[in-house]
Amino acid sequence: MVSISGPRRALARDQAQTVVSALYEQHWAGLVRLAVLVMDDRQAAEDVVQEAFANLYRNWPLRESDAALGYLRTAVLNRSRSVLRRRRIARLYIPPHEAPNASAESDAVLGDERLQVQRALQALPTRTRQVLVLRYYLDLPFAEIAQLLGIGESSARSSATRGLATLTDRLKELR
Amino acid sequence: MNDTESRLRDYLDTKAASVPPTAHGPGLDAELTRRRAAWPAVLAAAAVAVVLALTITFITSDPDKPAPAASPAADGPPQVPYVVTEDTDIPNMGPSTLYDGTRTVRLPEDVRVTGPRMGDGWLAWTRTGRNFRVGILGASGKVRQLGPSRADMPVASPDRKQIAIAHRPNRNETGDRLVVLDAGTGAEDLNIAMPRKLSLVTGWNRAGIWVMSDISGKVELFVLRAGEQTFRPVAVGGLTASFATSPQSDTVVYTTSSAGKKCLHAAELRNGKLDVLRTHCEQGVERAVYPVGSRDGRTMVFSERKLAIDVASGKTTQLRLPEPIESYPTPVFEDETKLLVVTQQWDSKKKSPQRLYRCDVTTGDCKLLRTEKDDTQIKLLQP
Repeated sequence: MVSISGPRRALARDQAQTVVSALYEQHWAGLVRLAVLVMDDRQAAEDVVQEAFANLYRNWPLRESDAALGYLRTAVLNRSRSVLRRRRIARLYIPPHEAPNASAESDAVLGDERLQVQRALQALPTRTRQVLVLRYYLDLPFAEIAQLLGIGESSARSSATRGLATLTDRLKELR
Repeated sequence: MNDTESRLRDYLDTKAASVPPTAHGPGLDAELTRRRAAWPAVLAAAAVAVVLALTITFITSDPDKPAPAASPAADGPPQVPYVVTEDTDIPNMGPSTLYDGTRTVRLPEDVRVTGPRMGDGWLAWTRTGRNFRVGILGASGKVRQLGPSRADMPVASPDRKQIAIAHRPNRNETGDRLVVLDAGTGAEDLNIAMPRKLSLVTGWNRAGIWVMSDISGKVELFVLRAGEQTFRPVAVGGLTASFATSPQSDTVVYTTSSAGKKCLHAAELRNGKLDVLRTHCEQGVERAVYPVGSRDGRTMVFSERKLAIDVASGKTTQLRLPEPIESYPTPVFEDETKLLVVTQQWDSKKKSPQRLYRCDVTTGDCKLLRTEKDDTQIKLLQP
């Protein structure tokens, strides 16, 4: 019997190129957006997404039943977190004025109101920021957020609640 | 929604829009080349497909079916071709050698053997830069290429005289074609539009050529019957895109999933619908279930539970194996009752060496045939 299984859930390794390439076409921009929202760094976001796809290809077919997009999102979020952690350590040795900043062009597009939100969001812990991005940008249910981040659903809910409260306080301070 | 939520959504949407939806990544070529492989990368860019609807005369009967081989000795060498890949940092990407009886072929880096045997060679797939083509691998290691470039998923006809391929002429996933090639001459016997973009050729049996699409989680199954030039949709509720065909019968085996339950079904196409012959369900199976069936369609295997199921009676036989079955690439039947399986234990991200067993699906007895080195993997091919 010839057995070939379908993409995303499961597919022959020999066909991984077709499926992963299709996923790349379909989801690259969306995943870069997600990484940008977490890291606020377009170049780093693209690197993280590229790495996630290369890893997906290496691990194809996935051992779980569903999940290519979930796998990619989790990989992007985890790598984003690692990048931010490394960057935070590096910043301990870099004078503040040399730390990377958002571009002037980006600032102009965002405007003052949104820059306040950006600053308030950047001040939150990475995990909290990830929860808020998944909830308020991707509109994901808490159960899915919990699954993507490898945390409990109640943790996802409380992170969102606490994060939103902190964000509210910070925005008041910035006014 | 309070003010903070509104402002947060507004910021996130605006910031996200700094990456245009039409933005494209650099592609995967460089990334994978760096890791040794050089498979073609992104299917992008647009063009218009050339329509070449030729007369279909593909053969689904099996007049030249070879006489069945004698049943293999319990601990004798595998009776099917197999590929051993060394240094498997990336699956299927390391140096590979094909073994088939007394024949051994060191595979060129750009060649993957997909099986089965065709003439005096094996069905293969090659890639050169961004192009990929099908062909027949000879014993010398050279590939006789067939058909157009940007062709993948080759599937042999039951009589091994034709090859069905998915031809993807355009990088933007449009205009995909199903092409049927004469394996001897390479001539196109059929060239018709695929029913959906990125359709996959999943098998060819006496019922016809089976094609599946899985776009954004929506799985659709189609069949092209002999003598027809239009795909017919075949409705299957809960289909999980895991599907296999029995070349020597009308039987197909597929997996469905619902409410935490995964079911393996054997079915035949009757009056345009799948008539289910046998269903076996298991609860709590987390991993994908890859259907496996004997070439005569009489036995199906639920690899995740190490079960062989007789389609006619429903009798299940537990295969006595110490490790989990490596469910993909799938186990392969050598004959009606002998199943070759590769096992591997995964434990905290560490893998045990792969082991090859021969199991009797009527008794559940399994015999160890070989154990691979740590960084080596074995892939069984259809005979």
